Amino acid sequence: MFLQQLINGLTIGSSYALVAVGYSMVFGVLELTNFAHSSVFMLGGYVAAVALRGGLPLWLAVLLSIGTCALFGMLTDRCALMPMRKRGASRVSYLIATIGISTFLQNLIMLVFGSEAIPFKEVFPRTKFSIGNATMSYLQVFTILLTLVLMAATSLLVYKTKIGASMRAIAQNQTAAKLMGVNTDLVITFTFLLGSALAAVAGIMFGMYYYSVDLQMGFTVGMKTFASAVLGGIGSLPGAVVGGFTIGVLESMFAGYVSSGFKDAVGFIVLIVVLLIRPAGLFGQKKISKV
Amino acid sequence: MGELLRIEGLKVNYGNIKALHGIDLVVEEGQIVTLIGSNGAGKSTTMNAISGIVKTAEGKILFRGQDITGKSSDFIVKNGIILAPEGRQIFPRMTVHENLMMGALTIKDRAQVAKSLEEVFELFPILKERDKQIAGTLSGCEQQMLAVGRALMGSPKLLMLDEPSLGLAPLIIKEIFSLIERIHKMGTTILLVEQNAKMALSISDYGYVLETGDITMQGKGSDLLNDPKVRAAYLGGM
Repeated sequence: MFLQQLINGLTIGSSYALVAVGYSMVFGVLELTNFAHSSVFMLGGYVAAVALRGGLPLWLAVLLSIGTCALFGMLTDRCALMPMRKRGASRVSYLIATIGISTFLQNLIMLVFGSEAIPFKEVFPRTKFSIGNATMSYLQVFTILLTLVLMAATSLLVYKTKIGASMRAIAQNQTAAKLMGVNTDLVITFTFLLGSALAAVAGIMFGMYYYSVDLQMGFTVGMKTFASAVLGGIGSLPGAVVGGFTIGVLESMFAGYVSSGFKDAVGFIVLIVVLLIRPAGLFGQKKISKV
Repeated sequence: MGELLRIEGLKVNYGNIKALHGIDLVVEEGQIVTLIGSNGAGKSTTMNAISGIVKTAEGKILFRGQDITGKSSDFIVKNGIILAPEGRQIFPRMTVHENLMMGALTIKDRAQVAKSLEEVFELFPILKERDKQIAGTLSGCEQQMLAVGRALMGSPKLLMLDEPSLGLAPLIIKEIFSLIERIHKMGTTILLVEQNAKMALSISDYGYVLETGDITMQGKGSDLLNDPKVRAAYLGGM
């Protein structure tokens, strides 16, 4: 049972990790918790589910989903947050704005796609193989591997390219970044775009794994991934990945050994414990004010 | 030798507080120009306004004849005005090397970046030794050198140094000033802001005295140095 729960936990943790990275990156450049992020994750799942139901091939559905989310992320910054930056809005205003965007997007999804759960067409063979006394499907293998590849690619981008260096520079000292010639608005918008694209992939994986998407997925996953980002140390990229996988595994273990009915509580318990014991998280900076 | 920077009637406000009341300033190509004045006189504000970090309320900033008033900071950096800000403002969790490379962000030509890096290492050999070290762990003096080195990486046409001697020991201040002179001799025009007025004026071609948002005096560096009023107010009556 342990091995089985570990495999399941890592699979679901993959989605959490991808979403958590988006939270962390945006927090890194803006010191803002983007509460609209979980709705973007949901949007990703919905667009792919509806596209597949409409008969589009998988690759096109995936592309459509990523494109829609990336565009939405970009517009979030350009239409809502950038004008606020120009006026020097307070941090609370940003926070409220993202909650507003989140509400808007949730209701938009409900309006366009209806309030019933939408089945996610089975596009991936559910063939299983056994490891010891546990079984693992190829979908699970694929999910975990894809997440690792995407995380590696994101790390390369953040640590090895000019735009990545600009993102890190903004996170460490925004004024100095400007003085180096960084176009901060462009880089911040790009950060939203990248995080949203990753959230779309997570939404698709989530839909595939649970065979359906519904209006609850945004909120529950949003809270768990926020907990993941905090556990890893918000603002830290490796932290978000480790946090996502950890929450996924803990939740799965809890479901297996204690109760599956209350598994959603695990993320909150972890969040509370981390905030009490180590508010900076596993990989976070001691000084949380500028991450 | 033409005019590099011209400021006309520059006004800057922070909310209701008027930080600059309309100052005029000229930097000729190849000069070292110093802006002296006490705390809160508006020296850093002037630099930040030129860099596009602070919004100008009124007035004009011309760089090589082009109006750059109100342009974004990245546009201004790309055009060759680079500020090494007060308090160093390095990227504390990046290595020394990464910090220097951030300085060269706008430079596309790799050969030029390599050449600048060599020059910076020649000026500041300590940075070469510390190349892989996390910048936040450097000493204050080393951080200051890094801030200046990083600014040089962008091949500035006008290098602006805001209080490069702040918080450093007297011996090290001497070293910093001799390095500024070396950078100048390598062909960079410098606009310097200093509280250490005596040393700053002694290496400057021209100086301006800024008092609570107005330029009250200007003249050749050596003339200001010998002016009784300047001596009384800024040079400790020496």
